Amino acid sequence: MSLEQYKDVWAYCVREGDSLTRPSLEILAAARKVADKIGQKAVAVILGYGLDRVVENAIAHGADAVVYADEPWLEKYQCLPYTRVLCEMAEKMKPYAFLFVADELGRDLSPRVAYRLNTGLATDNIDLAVEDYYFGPTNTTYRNILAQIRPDFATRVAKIYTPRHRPQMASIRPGNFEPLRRDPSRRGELIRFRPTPVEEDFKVKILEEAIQRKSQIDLEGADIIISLGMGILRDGEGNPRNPREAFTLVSEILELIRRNYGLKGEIGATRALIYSELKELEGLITSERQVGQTGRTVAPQIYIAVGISGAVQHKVGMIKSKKIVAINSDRDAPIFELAHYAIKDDLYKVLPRLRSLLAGG
Amino acid sequence: MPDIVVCVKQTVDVYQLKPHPETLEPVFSQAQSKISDFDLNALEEALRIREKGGGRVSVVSAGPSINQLLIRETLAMGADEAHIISHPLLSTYDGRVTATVLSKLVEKAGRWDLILCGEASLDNSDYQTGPRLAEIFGVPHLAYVTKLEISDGRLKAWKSMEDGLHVASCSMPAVVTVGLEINTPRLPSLLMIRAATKKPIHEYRLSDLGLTEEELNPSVTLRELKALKVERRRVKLEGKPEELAEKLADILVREALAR
Repeated sequence: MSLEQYKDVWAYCVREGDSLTRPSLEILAAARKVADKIGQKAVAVILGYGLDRVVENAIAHGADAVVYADEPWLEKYQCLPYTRVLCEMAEKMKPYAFLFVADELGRDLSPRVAYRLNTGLATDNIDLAVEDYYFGPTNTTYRNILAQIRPDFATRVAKIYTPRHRPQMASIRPGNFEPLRRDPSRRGELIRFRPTPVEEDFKVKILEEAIQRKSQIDLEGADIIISLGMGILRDGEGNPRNPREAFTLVSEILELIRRNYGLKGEIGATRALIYSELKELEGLITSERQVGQTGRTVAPQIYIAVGISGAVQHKVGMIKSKKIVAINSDRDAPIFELAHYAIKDDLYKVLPRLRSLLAGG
Repeated sequence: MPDIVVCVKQTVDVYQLKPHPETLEPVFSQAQSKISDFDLNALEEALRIREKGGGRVSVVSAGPSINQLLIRETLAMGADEAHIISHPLLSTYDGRVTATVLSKLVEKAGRWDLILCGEASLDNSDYQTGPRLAEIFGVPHLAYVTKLEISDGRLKAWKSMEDGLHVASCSMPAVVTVGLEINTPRLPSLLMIRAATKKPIHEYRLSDLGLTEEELNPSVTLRELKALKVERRRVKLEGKPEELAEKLADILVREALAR
């Protein structure tokens, strides 16, 4: 089978109520972008149960077609049965590309799908393009290949290609594409699969679901995020400080900003600070606050990085913020490369004064 | 007593990577190699399981040029033996190639009940090795495990997903991936470091694993790297702390009004 016979850009979308999760709508927009470039269809792929309204909404949000399976045994995500059904669909319909969200579920599922389809998988991309690709060893130019663009270490972007295998599989980090606006007048094709469950796929038993629900911390919905890093453990002179002090300071500052300007604020943190498990921050700085590669991707109006050096893991999660302010007494901290506004000074001197200004004004 | 294989990766210590001031390319010569963080959590978990229930802990590692001293550290932590391969073609972005080679090393380690991996590596963060290994061996995998229990040959795992913790269970053999949350890796004592010098490190060539260079051809290739220059006007705020606070307050007001 020649590569040209593989058509259409698929996006594996996760259902939320009657519609799709926001990251799913984002990768549907990414599929739309690539499909338009190569003159093919953007296809939403959905598994679940009771999907009538969901598939309509997928069309309204930009899909030309929906490939789906609507079965009681697919109601809840399970890696092995989902892998099997997605592979059946892809083997039958032969997509050009297959996109996933780079979150826990997408990272759980996509490597298995890639293995069974005997193709590559480029993970954690922030953008996609379409390019020709010249392959030296066989002196071949592959036309219209997906260029999968991802951050590489702190300061580079890499382009990854899967020229000789199909589908070209990629996962996309949330927060990098804008969902297409819902247009109920859009029409599209519905293609329903009727798979049969295979007993050996149910080896993993789910005993409990979504316990310890995530708290009210809503980083994605915040207008302003102030994030804390290991720098809060010392002041500008290098004297140890109680990190609780910094936490209280920024909590109060955010509360004042909310009161004065109506901006919704939230406190973020680096992975390093969270997993240093400081007693002083117990229950305050928890993993739900983590911004970065293995945490949340955020893009608030204002992001204030306090005592954060700017390791790649962190940068990837906040680089799209509209305005970035960095406060760090380490003058060489890499975070300053990203910052619109750099304050190379002691946070324990600047932030208390900011608090009094906001309180007085 | 489960026999456990732990996959570890030698990576550059990305926390030591500083960008070149002009080109912004990371300067690799100034950064040291280390075992990827999460892989040490995987090893620690394996050692704790062995302490409770016995069994053997083997370490496997594949890369372009494995430093035996780093592998020795995993033996000093308590692993019983190591199986490694160095080959230039293993400096790859391709999750398929990595998992294929690791699976051959796992077979060299002998019978196993559980494979433990870090959920992702420090350098590439691909999140592929665990699930792909599980596919190769046709067993289930449990990813993002923050707590793991074993009883009567069954695994019980607390998995961190988008919407909270899920508890799942399956029988062995299986693959489990973990992150920093699950434990704090031990630091080997001098005694353990001494004992480790006697433990075996088996080094293989590609042909020993029944593989050819052809099979290491990546399906995914990395072609173009560009320094990530952020197009922005950078403003350095200067002055005494009180002046800085005022300027910062101004910025907040301006951005708040701009909405």
